[in-house]
Amino acid sequence: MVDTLATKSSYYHPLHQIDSAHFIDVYMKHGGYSTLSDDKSIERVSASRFLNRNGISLNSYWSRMALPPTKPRSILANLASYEPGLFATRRLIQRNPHGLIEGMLIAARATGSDQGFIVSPLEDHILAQSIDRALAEAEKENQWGNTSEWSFNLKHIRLPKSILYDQDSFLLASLSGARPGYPNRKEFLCASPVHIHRAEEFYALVAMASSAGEEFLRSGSLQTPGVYLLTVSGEVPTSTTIEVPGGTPLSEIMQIAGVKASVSSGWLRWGGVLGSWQRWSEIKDKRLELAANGSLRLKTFQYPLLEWFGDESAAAAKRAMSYFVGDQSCGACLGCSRSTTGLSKWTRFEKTSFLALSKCSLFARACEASEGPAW
Amino acid sequence: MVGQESIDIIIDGAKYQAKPMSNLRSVLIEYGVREHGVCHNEKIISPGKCDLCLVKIGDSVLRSCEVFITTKLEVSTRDDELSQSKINSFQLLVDNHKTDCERCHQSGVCKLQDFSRNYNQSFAATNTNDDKSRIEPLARDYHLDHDRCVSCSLCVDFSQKVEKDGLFRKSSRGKYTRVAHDPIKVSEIDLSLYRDLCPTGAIAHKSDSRLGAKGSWVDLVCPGCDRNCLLSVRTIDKRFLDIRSVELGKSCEIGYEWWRSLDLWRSKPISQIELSDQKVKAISSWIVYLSLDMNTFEIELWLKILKENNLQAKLLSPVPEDYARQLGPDGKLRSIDPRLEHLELVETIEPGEQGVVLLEPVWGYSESFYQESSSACQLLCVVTHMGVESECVELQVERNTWMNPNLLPTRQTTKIQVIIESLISRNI
Repeated sequence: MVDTLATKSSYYHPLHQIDSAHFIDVYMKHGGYSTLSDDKSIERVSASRFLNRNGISLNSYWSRMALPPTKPRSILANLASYEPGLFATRRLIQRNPHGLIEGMLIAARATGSDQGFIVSPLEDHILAQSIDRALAEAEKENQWGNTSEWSFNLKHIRLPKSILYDQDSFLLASLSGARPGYPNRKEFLCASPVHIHRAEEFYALVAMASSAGEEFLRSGSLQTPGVYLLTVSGEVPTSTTIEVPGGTPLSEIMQIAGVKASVSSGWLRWGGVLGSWQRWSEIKDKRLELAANGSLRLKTFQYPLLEWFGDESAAAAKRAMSYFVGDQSCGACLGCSRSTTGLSKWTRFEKTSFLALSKCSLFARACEASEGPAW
Repeated sequence: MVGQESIDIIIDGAKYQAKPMSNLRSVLIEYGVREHGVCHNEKIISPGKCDLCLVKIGDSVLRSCEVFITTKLEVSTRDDELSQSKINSFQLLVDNHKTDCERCHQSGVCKLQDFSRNYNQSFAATNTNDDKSRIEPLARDYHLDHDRCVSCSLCVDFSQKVEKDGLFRKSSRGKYTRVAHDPIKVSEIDLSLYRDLCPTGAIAHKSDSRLGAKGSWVDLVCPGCDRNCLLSVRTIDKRFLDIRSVELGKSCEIGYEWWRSLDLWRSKPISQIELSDQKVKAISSWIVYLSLDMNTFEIELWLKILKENNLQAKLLSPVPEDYARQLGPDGKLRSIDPRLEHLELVETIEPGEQGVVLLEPVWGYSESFYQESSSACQLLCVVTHMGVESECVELQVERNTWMNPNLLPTRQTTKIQVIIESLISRNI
């Protein structure tokens, strides 16, 4: 059921066994960018029920606003949000930067967008180099830009990494200059709505549009069709990045990271630092269902990251979460900025009263993450 | 809502009237409801940082400083749940707050102190944040005490949105958020406003640490100049003074400095000091006495200033004994520039002048000449050139009335246009 990146077949990085596939000539030689000329594959992407990070299908997300087709739209790949445990995306982009660009071009065709933005972290110079090189190569090959057949322009914007960029409204407000203290790039942002995706979703679009697309969408369960890229980490023998069809039992996923099926103690954290805690014994029989009514829906500030912790490590990880919120919050609300005084020790009433006053959902995620194992 | 004159609001069961779009917290203060919020000021939209001004509207708990009245409201300020929420906020807010109230000049008027007494809450003793435990010097013996700061961001908002001087800003994120200042601008900006503004006593003067005991407040008009600032003053042991301006932004460091310099131990009680005879009268006319050694640039500059401000001017050419140093190499003065020929040439400042701006030549005037000049007029401003090319001059204002010039920080360095404009408009 489960295919890791190391095995032969991979949807997210199909050319992983081919040398120098991060250069455009090799990439195109092995079928890269060929999906763009196929209208049927674009239709397949639009009609698919693949779930994005909010647990809704791509089509529902793209058509969330009723707009005339002449209204300009744009696509944004958000890499500047912050999750310390997630390494899948960065590794994928470095090895396969053209997959990201091809995915954005597919999304642009499917949504009718004429602008694209890749927002990458300012601190990651190597990643930026990969993106810039790939963008220049693709433009030279007329995949995008003024000389391409499709009117589409891509911009690479670099912002200092911040957890708050994970919130779409904050990112857009910051880019358009409405958040003093955060850098703006309002000279670029002139098309709205902006469809924001995480990088791995664009790779999934390429997989859906490719010849293996039907197979990709047949995998997975009825509620969660498709294959999803997960990072499995925590107190496990081998941290890894895997591609998992929707509906796979969690115990099966964790076995790949070395957590034995017989283990019933410990905790599972789903979503990263600000994710939700559940006892491993209670959740191990559940399946990966990402839909709104599923067991593992992601929310803002949460990432496709599964972590198993023993009891002691869970307490340490939760303490680290408290400091993470204290360090990364913008400091505008009292709750977040002082949460290091012991969010896990707060009573439910205290959390509720600050939750009602918080100005974004970061504090809500922190409160969720503070539930679970005893400190 | 347009055209509606007032809206009914019910505060704790009593009916009141409020203007549409007025801030709820301002209305609460207006009607005398006891409030403890520290981050609100009428001139700004509150940052909503302190969470001490919570009210209950319907079932939801809201910050009153963030509510603008648009419809009829029923507001509750006394409620068990509300009190508990406020207490939670207070405990978080004062977690790193210094508890040396006996040394703080805000003692007695501090809202945190007031809250702790009203809600029977003690200040937490977990002062463990090393990053904040330091006092940062600002300028002229003013400092910013990060241990007292509760990050209410009032000074930052006021600096950025009202004063627009760019003095204060926030740095870092989350729990490391703290107030930072511009090290260059801080030497030029009057800090008395921010001292009055800071609700927790974090921005303070060195001498403020001598204050702190609760005393009785007296309202009086500051005799420092003719701006007639209304101040609140309290004395501590008849020795030390605490001064607050009643209206924010109406006091100045010079006034503070003068009040602090009074030796009240030897003088009469403050209520008996006769202030009226010490007051400087407004000076309505200014006259500029130019020197003969001005270069082309200076002549153009001064002619422009004279024209813009509609000032009278004369050329001053005293006898050689009145100069401090020897004249040029040949001991002769430069011939008068044709552009200045229309000005009257005089040897001394004519007695009976009100305000005199005296341009000092390169070789300076003797002390006896200054003494004669200052006695001839009510107020003498001496302009000393610091450089020929630069527009910057050093202006020394000597007040020959009641004030001892040694007590006043009278030296300012700024553009001459600014100084002249301030002299004309404010009538120092």
